[in-house]
Amino acid sequence: MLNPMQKDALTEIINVYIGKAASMLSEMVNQRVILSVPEVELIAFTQDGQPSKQLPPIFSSGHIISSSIRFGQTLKGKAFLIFPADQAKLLVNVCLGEEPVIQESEELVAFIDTDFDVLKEISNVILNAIIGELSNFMDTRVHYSLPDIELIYVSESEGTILLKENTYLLLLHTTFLLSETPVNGFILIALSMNSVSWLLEKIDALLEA
Amino acid sequence: MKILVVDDSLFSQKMLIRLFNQYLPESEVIVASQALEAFELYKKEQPAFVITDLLMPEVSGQELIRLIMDYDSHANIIVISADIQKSTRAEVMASGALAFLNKPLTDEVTGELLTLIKETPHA
Repeated sequence: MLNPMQKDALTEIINVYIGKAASMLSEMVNQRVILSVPEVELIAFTQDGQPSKQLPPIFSSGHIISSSIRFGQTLKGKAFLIFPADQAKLLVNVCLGEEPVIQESEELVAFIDTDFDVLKEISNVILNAIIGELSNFMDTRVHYSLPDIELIYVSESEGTILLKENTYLLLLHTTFLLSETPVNGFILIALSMNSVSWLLEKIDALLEA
Repeated sequence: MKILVVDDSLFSQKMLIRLFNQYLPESEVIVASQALEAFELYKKEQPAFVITDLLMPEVSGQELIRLIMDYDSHANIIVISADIQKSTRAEVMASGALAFLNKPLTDEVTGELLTLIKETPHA
């Protein structure tokens, strides 16, 4: 378990990194990005692979765009940038300097290759900013996979579908909102057990110094 | 002056092409989405500058730098990557790159890139 001091230190560190990532996104879309305070949770898994506590709900049910990057070496895990599908399309429009068209109907918006390409590049920048800073903090080097992008339907009961790999234990998540366009995103970072131990050792050393 | 842009993201390619067309209208921009394709283009076109990403499918930008520097030790290679790790920057600079800039392509980054291209002597 995380003690209150570890949790506070970790939240603060991640807050700074997410702040940098938000600043990058802000420059890409030319709008202010409003962040929520990041949540840090340590989640234990039972032997049958079930989480010991409720994982954070990602969004209400519907189609989402999930863009993720795996990272490895000594610091190992997976980072996700997630948007509701209709809002992902708005984000692409804003990035390309096009007028965002807000869809009224419930129908799934159509995505073309360029949309996925832009979303991949956004997640590449945002997630690298966070993981790269974490890697610098840990004084190590991570290797990244290519960004992976998926259009997924998530039902209320399947809100945890993205976290089915039970090696990941420490969840750092936050939401953000663009100031002028209704785009609400979710950043989630999952670290492996060994990475968590190592990170906590580093934080403890900092706290004791 | 030829500039070879190497990035698997069409979005990033487009941004750089737009930048060079606007601020370096005399330049001829060549693009590649993969490192090996870029290396072949480098040998054929002998560009004055190579602007490359690092994280690309199949062959990485680091490997492309190695290939080009082995072929032409005077190559002017500028990396533009989302990777903000100090160790990556150190590795890239040690391999002979001219500069390492971070995405996204903000006004500050594009300004630095254009200054580098304008001020670096090239054949």
